[in-house]
Amino acid sequence: MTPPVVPVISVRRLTKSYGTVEALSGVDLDIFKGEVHAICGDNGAGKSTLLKILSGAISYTSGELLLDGTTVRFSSPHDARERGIETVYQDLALAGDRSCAANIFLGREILMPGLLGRLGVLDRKSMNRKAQQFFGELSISITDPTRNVRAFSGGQRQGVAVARAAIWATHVVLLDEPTAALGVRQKGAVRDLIERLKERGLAVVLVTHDIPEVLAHSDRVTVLRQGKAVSTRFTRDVDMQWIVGAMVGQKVDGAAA
Amino acid sequence: MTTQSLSSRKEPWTVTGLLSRVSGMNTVWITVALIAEIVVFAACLPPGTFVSIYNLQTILSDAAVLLILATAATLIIVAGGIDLSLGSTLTLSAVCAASVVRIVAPQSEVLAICAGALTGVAVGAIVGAFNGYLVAYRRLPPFVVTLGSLGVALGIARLTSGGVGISGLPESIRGFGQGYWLGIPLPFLIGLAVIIVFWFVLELTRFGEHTYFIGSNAEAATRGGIDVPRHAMGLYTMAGALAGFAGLVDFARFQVASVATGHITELIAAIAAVVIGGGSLFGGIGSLKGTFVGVFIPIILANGLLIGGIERFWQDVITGFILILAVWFDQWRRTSDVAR
Repeated sequence: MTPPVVPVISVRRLTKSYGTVEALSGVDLDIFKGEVHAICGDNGAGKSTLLKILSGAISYTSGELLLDGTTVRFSSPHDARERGIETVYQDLALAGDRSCAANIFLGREILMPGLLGRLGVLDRKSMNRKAQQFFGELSISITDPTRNVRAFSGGQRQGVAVARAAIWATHVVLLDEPTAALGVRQKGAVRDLIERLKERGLAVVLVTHDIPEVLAHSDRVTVLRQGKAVSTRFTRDVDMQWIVGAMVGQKVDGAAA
Repeated sequence: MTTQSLSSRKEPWTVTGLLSRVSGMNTVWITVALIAEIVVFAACLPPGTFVSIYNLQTILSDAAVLLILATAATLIIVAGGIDLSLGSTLTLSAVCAASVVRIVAPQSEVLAICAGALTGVAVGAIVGAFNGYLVAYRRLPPFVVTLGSLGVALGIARLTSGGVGISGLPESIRGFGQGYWLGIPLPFLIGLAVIIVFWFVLELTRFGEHTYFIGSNAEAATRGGIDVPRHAMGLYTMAGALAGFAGLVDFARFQVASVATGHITELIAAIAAVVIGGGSLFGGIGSLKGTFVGVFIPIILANGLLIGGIERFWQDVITGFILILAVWFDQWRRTSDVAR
């Protein structure tokens, strides 16, 4: 069923131990370009451990992590970002007292040309202009990127965080519980954003325990349970009952392999 | 849609963004408060005393050291930290510089001044680096670290000087510390230059942007690839060096490196200036433009009280209350911001 292309991310027998406790024990996973891949599981199933490994926050104990077919081991979130993997954290990781543009360009600031640039002087005009352009492309309702993030609603802040990921990601965007703190209408906006990430040819990994969200947004779903990948299916082939069953450990692979 | 109307309310000067707009508003308010202060003193004090060229020069001279110290405090506070040791760092630096000057002066006065200046700044930087290491790399709370080094630096200063101020210094330093250029006191011009340079760094450069970012959300800064401990270490070191430099200016002006007070009054006034100027002790907010205006509120207060013949210790009392009020206001502003 899977297309004959190299997965953007391949996880092979991935294990992460904390002392004698195994948070992940031998997870296999393939994530392809242009798909929204949901990873769900109950609390303690290993979702956030997997997310942290993919985003570069922690390293793995054994197994293999391949990016575009090459083995990688990220030393920091910055390292993962350098390789085109962007993460949208649940807390969004935005500085409320800085402008939307400044948040978008954090760590990747545009400097003035010439001597001023060598002194480290920022080219705020260019950054504001580009931020505005990005927001337009992603249909995010922020018309003035010079305003502080604090001035915007939860949904708009989410938009800023997702936009930042979309702009810099070349391979994968990891979304951690993206709609946990949002209202119904804002959830719809995030769904549209996820669609646009797909259109840009990015792989989107959606880590969540919100099953309706999985069913609504994802193309495929992997259920984790007690540190293992229980099953991976096309989302259209499953329903809420199946996912819940897989999460709590009922036999799921009896129906079809 | 409310969000639409919110975001379409565009200001014409978008370059420096909302921060400058907010702090700009703040600067307007404190400027009004400052003018009110001046008007009250001008009205209440005998004519020709408060409002006079001589007194204006005195006020500017008095502001010099505080401008530099408040610049240091702004750097730290914007990044979400606090440095209580700035006053005693100033004291220690001045004492060390004075000692070096006294030793070298018999050989060459020029050499003595250069060596003294270098010593003062270096000693300040060392105290700052000590603070920075413990805060940034050992993750100790800055309040406690800098309270500790406040005691350490003042103790060492008193040990070095034998508990008394160091005076009896070459005449040429006096020229520097009490000189004028076009009627403007030299120390003030130096303080002004320092605050302008750091305004440039904080407002316009990537280093400044990262400083604000760390103060606003250090975790996000780390995830964004900023080496937060290194940056914080740099800031504390810089603040210490600035305190050392302020020590030199103080020493040049008064001809004596005093160890009596540990410059606690100046420390309180410096932190008050930052907060009055719109700086938030929660980090992420503040501007040197605001700090510049903020500095003159305690300075003019002290000056007016002195001319009015009021016991000068009232200055500490009032400045202390002003600091508390300013922090209270900041807290109120923050919580009402969150509630919105």
